[in-house]
Amino acid sequence: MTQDETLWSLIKEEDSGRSFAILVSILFLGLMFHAYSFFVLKEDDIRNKNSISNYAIMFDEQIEQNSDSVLVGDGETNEFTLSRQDASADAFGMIAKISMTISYTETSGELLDPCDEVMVNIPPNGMVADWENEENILADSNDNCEDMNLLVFVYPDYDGQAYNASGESEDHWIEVWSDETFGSGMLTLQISVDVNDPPSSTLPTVNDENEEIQVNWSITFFEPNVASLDT
Amino acid sequence: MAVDGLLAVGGILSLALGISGLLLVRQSLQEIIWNKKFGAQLLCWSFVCKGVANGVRSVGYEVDAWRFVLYSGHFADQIFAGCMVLLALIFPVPLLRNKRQFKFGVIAVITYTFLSMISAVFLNVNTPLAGLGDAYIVCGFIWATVYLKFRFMKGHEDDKEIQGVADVAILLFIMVIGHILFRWVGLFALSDYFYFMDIYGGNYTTDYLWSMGLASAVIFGLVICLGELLQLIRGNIRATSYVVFTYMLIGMVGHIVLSGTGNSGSGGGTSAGSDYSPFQEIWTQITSAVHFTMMRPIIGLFVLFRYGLIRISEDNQQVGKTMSIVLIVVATSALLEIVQSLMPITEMLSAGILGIAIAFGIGWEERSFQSLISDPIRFPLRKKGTYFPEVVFERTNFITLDKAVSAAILFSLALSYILYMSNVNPFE
Repeated sequence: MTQDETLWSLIKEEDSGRSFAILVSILFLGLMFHAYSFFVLKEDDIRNKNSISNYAIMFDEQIEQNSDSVLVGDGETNEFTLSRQDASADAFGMIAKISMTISYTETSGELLDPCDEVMVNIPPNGMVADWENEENILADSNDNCEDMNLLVFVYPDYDGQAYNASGESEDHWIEVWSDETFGSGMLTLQISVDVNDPPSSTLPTVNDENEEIQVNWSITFFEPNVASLDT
Repeated sequence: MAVDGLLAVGGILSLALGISGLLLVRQSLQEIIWNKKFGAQLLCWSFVCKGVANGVRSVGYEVDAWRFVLYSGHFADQIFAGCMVLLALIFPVPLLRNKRQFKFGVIAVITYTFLSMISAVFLNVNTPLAGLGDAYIVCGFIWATVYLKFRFMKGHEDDKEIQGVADVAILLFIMVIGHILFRWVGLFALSDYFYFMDIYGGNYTTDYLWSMGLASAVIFGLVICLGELLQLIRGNIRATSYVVFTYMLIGMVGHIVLSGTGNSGSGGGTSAGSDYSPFQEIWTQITSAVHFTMMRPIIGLFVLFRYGLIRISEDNQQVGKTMSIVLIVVATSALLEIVQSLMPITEMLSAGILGIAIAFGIGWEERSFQSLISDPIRFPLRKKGTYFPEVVFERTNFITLDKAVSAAILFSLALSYILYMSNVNPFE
């Protein structure tokens, strides 16, 4: 058998030519489809695939507030607890912070009875919160019947201010501000009372053995809102 | 194991196969037809290149010498592509059919590869010339044509030798392109995970040329799959048909898994993109990354022995067996590492399983190695002389090829080092 050394001899052979033609035709059609998809249908997506998206991150806030009273005996410490479940059913989202105003008056009714000494303290446990935040106010005390304000920041880095962020996805930023771990558990307020007796305390009819403490609390809830800034 | 670990294993496997394969070719005393002998050399050198590329990239780009990692990986890939194109031009069917054509083909491939490297050095790494997926387009086209020609050759449907040519064309095609077939549905479903694949990004024309190479690979894959479906209907199914069906089926499942993902990593989608979910990362790891790093050397080993590119005799049997054992042991341990990363099993248990797996693997290797080398499939030299021209090459010609490719690899490494030391910006 003579040995044909040209490539063309292979292509022009009947069945080789057919397979060659079939493959070229399919390849041509397929690459036309690919080029149309690449340059027309998906051009914007492909051009922007590596662009960094910008997002405006905003927050919707809702404040839930309520009050309770606690009767604390002389020399005793009572606890007042608060959790997400204490908010109304309408409350939504993450817990940003919890503030408490503790107030009391001298209720013995005795003449010249001075205010009792009241100490309030929130131990940094029980609820998952931003306990390391330097702006937390976890303890106070007084004996002049003035209000005491305590504050616990629950969601780390939350300050309620809208801001812009670059990169990642919309879902990512929603996720950053949707960690329900923060605010889970129970917040405990410990209240201690030391009764200051009135000058007439030696009389048998005078009795100042406890104090009613008013706790006004408010929980700030928030929900993140993310909007793309890219047109 | 992270994908980087897989890259390291893939690098070791490829280097082991490439270097031991070259030793076997050198030691082989039996007469082998010229295109198979050159084919064996090119296949082995291509694995050495991939070993270098995967090995350096396994370090990652978060190192001081990231320029060296980038350039040496890039250049090694370009030499790999050149070897693959040259392989496709001579094996399984020589399209370069005499010495003059062969010399012209080699010069053309070397020139193209050199120009690609130069454009990466003097322009940047993502120029269109540096980004053309030539290995996918040229090799895919040639091997798909050979497949169609020999698989559907009239009157030879049961001829094992004729069908063997189609089989090896499929295997080589799968070896080079298989990881892209895992994403074939994305081409037609306009999925981001397909169209977002690029080499380095930043140049739309380069991105298109690269994507076109991937699209070509998918089209050739579909042609072969349809051809095998036709043969299935006719009752002519072969072992390689199952390989094709498996890759295409994984591609269909992969579409379900990867739908909705955006950035797809780089290259041929062998690594997970930045926004992949953990499951999508695992999927990419156990499909594309495993093919890219482990299946390629294993398919290469099979082709080398099964189709007689390397003939094993008493002189070189020990090297051949060592080569197979190294590949099997490393691949088995890497696979087990992947399983360990997916399933919560203790290190003690996995070490035990590894021991058992390797014991079985080596036992299996003893038997399969014998059957692999004992009866290599011969191409129809005498039946169809038209397709397999006899060309006489001197022994020095084969040695010259070895010297040329090894010089190219050393040159590319030295060039990468110079570019690294010069603080060149690869993207400007």
